[in-house]
Amino acid sequence: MTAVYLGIMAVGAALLLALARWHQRLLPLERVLERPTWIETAEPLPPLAENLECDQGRIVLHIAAGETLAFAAPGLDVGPNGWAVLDIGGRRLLALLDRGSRKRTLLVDPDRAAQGGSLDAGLVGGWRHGTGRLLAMAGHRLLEVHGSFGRDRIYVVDPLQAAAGAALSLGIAQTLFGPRRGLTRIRTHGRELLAGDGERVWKTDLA
Amino acid sequence: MAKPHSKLHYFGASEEEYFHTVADRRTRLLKPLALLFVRRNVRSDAITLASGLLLPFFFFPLFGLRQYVAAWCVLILHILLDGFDGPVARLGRYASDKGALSDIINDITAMVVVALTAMHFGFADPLYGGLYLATYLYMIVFIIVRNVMDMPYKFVFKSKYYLFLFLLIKVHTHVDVLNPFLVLLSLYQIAVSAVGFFHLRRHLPGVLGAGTRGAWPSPDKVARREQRRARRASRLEKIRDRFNRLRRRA
Repeated sequence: MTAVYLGIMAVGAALLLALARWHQRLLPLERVLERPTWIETAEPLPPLAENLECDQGRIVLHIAAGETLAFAAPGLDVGPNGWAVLDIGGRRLLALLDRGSRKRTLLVDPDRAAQGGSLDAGLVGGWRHGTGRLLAMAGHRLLEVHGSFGRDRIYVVDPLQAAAGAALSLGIAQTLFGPRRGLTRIRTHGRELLAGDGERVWKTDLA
Repeated sequence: MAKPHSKLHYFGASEEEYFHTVADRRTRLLKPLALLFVRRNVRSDAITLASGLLLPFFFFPLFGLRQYVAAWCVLILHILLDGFDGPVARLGRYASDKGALSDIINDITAMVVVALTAMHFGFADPLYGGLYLATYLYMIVFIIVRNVMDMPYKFVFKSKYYLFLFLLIKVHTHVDVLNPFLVLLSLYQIAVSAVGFFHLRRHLPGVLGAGTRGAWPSPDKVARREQRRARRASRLEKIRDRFNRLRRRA
């Protein structure tokens, strides 16, 4: 029987390790969870007014008016759709989703960062995203797409609240189920929320 | 504005206020530690699940291996984690009825695993243990149903921690306080369940569904179920039509 008891404990240890490793994918955060009706659409995702380049520890942000803001951000790894420019109370803020080992979403004042020459000079705050993949702006709010063992979760986040508490859960205003797993792009267009996986695009109304 | 509270708990009316006071105090006390979990995006359900896994996968086999001290340590860790999930949920601002339900299931599972362990390893008489388990579950069902229907018991004595204590005494001193405790508590739980049953029967209106209307399921769910039924009926009608046409042609 000793072997049976040891076996039961081994299974328990494996389950606890799996839970510790994948807790955020198994039991994703949620507040005001909604399952919107996603409709597949042929219309392409609207282009962004801004463009961001992240290369060798340097962030270059091209703004619509032809203005370019650049600053050093050593160790930061921002993906193609892992950033968003927000306008909060007339103040421009840049949200960056770091895919590196720190797995944090950073809120930066790009003008101050460009003046100071480094990300730290303009850093407003941040929070750990863990499983975050994509960012997009939705008015004064931020959309953060997270991978999970089911469909992707889209969090509508109040960035200032999340940054104030340094915790994603404190800023989540709403949680939406994505149309499927593995989304690669997300945008808002008026009250519409559009999400794409590289091949197809879906849309829904953002309440 | 009054704070919203879940009805999914198994406390009597007189205990509820005390329970919320203790919960608020616990949240304040554990805030620094709980915030570490909140900032790591650990949902309280993950803590509840970890707490629930400890007993069947560690407490039970450690008893089998006669590692009693280690087993008690696991039980204490389970109790601490069980008390910690609430503060994490409240500080992370995602406390919900879902979490309350998980917490109830975790509590009941703990009691069931400890009672089964006591019976399996010969510390409790299987008849008394089985009776205690069954009546405890009946009692919990009636407490929760009455809380949800806004007809709570005034006070209910819950014996979970006494079961743990008397098992500990039996294991380490061989003084049998456990079996008489199981019999006495079974009788008490039968009485509480009977009171709950007759009280509910007396207050439920004699119309099907009238007593629970508006509680579960939600109107959305009912609408979706009706839509599913209509779709199924329409599909069935189409199949019947096709079948009839084929039969006429044949």
